Amino acid sequence: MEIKVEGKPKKSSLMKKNILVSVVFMIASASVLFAQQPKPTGDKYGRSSIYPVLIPHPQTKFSSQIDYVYLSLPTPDKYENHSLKVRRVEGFGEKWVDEKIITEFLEKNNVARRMVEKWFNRDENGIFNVDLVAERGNYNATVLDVEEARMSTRGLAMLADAGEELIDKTFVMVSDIVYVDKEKQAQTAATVLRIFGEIASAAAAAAASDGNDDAATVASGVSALAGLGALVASNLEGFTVKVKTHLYQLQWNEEVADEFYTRYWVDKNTPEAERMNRKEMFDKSGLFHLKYLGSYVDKSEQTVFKGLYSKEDVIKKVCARAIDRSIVGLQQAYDVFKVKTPITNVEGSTVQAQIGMKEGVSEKTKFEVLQRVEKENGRTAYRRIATLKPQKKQIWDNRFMAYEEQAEGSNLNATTFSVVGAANILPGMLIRQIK
Amino acid sequence: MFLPVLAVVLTVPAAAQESDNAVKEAYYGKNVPVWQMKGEVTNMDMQKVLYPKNFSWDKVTVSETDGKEEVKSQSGSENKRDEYNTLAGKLQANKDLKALKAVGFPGVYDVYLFDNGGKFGMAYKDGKLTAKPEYDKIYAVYQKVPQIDDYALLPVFMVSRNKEYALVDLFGSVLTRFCKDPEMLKDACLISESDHFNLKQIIPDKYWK
Repeated sequence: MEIKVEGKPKKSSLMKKNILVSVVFMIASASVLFAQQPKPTGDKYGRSSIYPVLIPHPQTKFSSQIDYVYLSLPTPDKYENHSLKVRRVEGFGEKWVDEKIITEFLEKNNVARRMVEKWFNRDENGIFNVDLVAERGNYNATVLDVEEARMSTRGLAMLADAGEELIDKTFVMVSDIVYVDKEKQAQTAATVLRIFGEIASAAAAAAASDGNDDAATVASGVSALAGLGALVASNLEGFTVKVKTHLYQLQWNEEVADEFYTRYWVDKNTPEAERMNRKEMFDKSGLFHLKYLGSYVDKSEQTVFKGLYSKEDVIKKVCARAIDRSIVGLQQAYDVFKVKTPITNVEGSTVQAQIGMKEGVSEKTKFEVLQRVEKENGRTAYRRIATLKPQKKQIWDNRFMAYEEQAEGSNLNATTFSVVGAANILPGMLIRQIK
Repeated sequence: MFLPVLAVVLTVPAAAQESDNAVKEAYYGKNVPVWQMKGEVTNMDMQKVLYPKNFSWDKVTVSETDGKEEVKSQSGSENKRDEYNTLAGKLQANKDLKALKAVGFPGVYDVYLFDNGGKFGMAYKDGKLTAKPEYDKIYAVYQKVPQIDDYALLPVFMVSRNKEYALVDLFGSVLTRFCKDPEMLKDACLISESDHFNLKQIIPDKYWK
């Protein structure tokens, strides 16, 4: 990768406009020498941000169990959690929802705008700040006094870098999960009703006979649930789901950023009238959009368990692994969704990184080692300095519950790679899968 | 519909009697929030009953009741006891379960409790686990139905682990985060009010933030 050392940055339209609000990042250290400085990584290395959304099908069996399991799963650990409060939106029927309906839902509900709001910690008064951007970007930055209402070249570069490195790499991942029902719906309903008949107890009947509808409703509802539990428990064998995962990317480019900072930015020092005006404009803005990248289809594999496990474990494992595979599939299809992982250890011609089978690492995969450098204008660039191959029997099995089932490689805590080619590799450098 | 609810300790091993008393002291006779059913529950909405929107939280008084006896009284017929004994045998045959001791069960459900070396779990009548033996206590949750002057068992359990509490359904699914105080459970549900819309709806602003 060639590092292009840019000359003096263009005078942005941001500068031309007499904006009332500005945001400036200040590099606290090593700010004098910018030319291709390796940047530190550590825990924060500009990870992509993700907002996972579940589409359940409440009419199907196991729907509520899948809901709770999905919502209890942690955010994939190679991504920053950018979830909004709505994490589950019901689909219809028993089949996957058409992508157009999902796209329309996201558009009509202004999800893109809400994700921008989250990036800039917008509060109820419409006031933004850059704390989250600084934190996730590890910019070692300080927000200066915005009352000065000016934008330094350095600050502009940092904002542009944050936009390209962070905000533009914000994704909505919509998982449409359908339980593969091997029985016909009619049969299921009949079974449920039969169980009702057995359990829907005297309480309901007695209450009903007394003309007490409320009590009858409660009692029969509780009894019905008991029956449902039995049904659920006895039919878990061969639990299988089909997952169609749709991927959307937040559209954030120079034009969008420019308009956002110029027309909509509000901070605590913005005059009240102007704040109200900008707040209203932002709320009505059609500036922000999501781009549909594509989808990935996964059908869960046969589950094999060792040791002690519960039925919830079965659902958890099936769903978690299906989602992990979907993420891997989407990464392979869309470069922009690929994650970078820091090298944690270097020993001779081998390196280690905390990435494994969950992220799709196999003996056939290849990785590049990237050196993160900072260009003269403050923007970040990546330079490939070597390639890596996972070593046999040294691939970490970090898939969901792999350790509990004592899978081979699950006792490792990182994957060991052989370095192809000569390079001075250091811990903290990033690796990324290549085709 | 606001109805009083009774939370009953189902697991009462001798070794745990002391801590059990502590639980009673802490919660019995005091106002404890628990889930209560509200609105109409139809057969079609069975699964949704487990969602918080179908429950309301309220301060209610918990009666001091011997949970074990309560469970026994609901155990019902001889068939149920036979089923329980058969299950106990199946569980004993599970080599992964050590020092197994069956301790009781809520009769309405086909879910049974067992004690595995001081940790409690739940199993379905076929011997398969619905909850691994990882809980210090499992509580049944009852709802008082004043119209029939009796309690109805709710399809949720309160479990404790390392002095933290959570709600699980009878299937063993954990419905809330683990909280230090049961009173915190009302805000700890994994599914919130924001999660009850469908793809054709415009979701109001307040549900997004």
